[in-house]
Amino acid sequence: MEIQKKVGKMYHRVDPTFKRKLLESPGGETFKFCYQCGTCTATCPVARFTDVFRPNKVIHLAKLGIRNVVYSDAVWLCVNCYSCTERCPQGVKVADVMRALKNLAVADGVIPEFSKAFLTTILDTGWAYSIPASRIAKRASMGLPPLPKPFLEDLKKLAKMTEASNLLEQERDAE
Amino acid sequence: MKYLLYLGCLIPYRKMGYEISARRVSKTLGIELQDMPDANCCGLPIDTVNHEMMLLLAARNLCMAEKHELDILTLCNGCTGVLMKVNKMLKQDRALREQINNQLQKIGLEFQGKIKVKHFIQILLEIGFNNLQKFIIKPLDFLNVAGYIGCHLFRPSEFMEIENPENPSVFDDLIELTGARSVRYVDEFQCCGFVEGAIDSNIPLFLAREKLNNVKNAGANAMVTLCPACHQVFDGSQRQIERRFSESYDLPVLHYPQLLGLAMDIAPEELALNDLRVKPTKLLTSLTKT
Ligand code: SF4
Ligand code: SF4
Repeated sequence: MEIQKKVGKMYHRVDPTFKRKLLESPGGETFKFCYQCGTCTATCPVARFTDVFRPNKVIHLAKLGIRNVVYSDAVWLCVNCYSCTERCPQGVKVADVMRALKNLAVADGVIPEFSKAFLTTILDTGWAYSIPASRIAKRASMGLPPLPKPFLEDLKKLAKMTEASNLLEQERDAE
Repeated sequence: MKYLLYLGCLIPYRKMGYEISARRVSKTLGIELQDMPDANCCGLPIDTVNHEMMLLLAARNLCMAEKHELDILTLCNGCTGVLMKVNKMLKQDRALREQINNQLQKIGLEFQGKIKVKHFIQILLEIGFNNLQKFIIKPLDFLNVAGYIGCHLFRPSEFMEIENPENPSVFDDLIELTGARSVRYVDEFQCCGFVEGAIDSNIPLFLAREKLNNVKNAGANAMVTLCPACHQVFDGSQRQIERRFSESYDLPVLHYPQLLGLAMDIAPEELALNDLRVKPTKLLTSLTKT
């Protein structure tokens, strides 16, 4: 559990303003309607196979501002399947709330390695997976057209605007 | 009927069979596909990191399609979900559109809301079952097929366009179109677990194993998917799951256009069936006997 170690120490203080941050974060708005019925957890496919992730609990802890739990591995276990969103009787967009929490965690410097790798590859190649040369050659040999080539300059500019690229720069500076 | 083909990354990375069969079937059905030379990542993998960046990546693709003046045809559920959702969000929400356009302006683009995004099966539905039926030359009546539709094609129902999202039946109809029997099974609408692999390598195996067992118990002799990620889990990881749990499935998992193509009497080689990890040997033997 790579993230757990990191955040356990970083955010041990309760942050009473955290719920406001979540409310203002795109996708986080609906979390205030939660009345803790547990329907989301009952329908969550991930919660069936792990003890550490319970979407209703994450929402409760976020309300309390207990960030070291909210920022732990638990929330990253959400696979964004939207089952909970479909079934919440209170109209909480649970999957979006989980995503907003991840965004807040990242903004606070908690970003898992795989996400960082996706970001790097997207900025380097335009795609989340970089297609190996052997595949590209195989495509050609099978008569498939060449793959798209996005203007990487454009993507870099977009990443700068959203400050997404800062995440990678911070990392480079730290090294 | 002309569309821009948006492949995404996972299909060229690992699922050439899906692309080849979709292109081949489209050709016979008269769906003209134009490649999209300037596309980029749909944005989904980056949504958890930075929502705004996801919106911009998706919006850039939509703007490119607007330049080509064509609707987008997608094959991957992930791409479908993101592109369809962002397209609708930007069409409906003026404040968001202005914010995104302010940023897109800096790379010389503007979202105008002129095109639509459709998954391959939505285009089949538009063609209509009566018309599609005419192409079915070799009904696959010896097959019991378990369809796995995949989350992002029908959830969240606020944005996706699949009828009856609590219990969608559209995939059953598409399977029965090929003459095969569609098998229903427990948890068929639950997540395959693909993205989970990045953070926990165990949970996806449990998620997939449960479904493989349910499919087997329901008496299916093949599975069929609509998304490269779901396919990777059930086909690509099937051997690993068998080893891990000392179980045996031997369940071929086809991309839907492969199944449809067989029923249209297109040769298996042209549908890249040999690209599958679990070889559909028995299925092909039964096919030649019919
Ligand atoms: S289903 Fe909705 S109201 Fe119930 S616990 Fe989950 S988020 Fe809260
Ligand atoms: S979206 Fe996340 S929290 Fe909701 S059911 Fe799926 S995995 Fe669980």
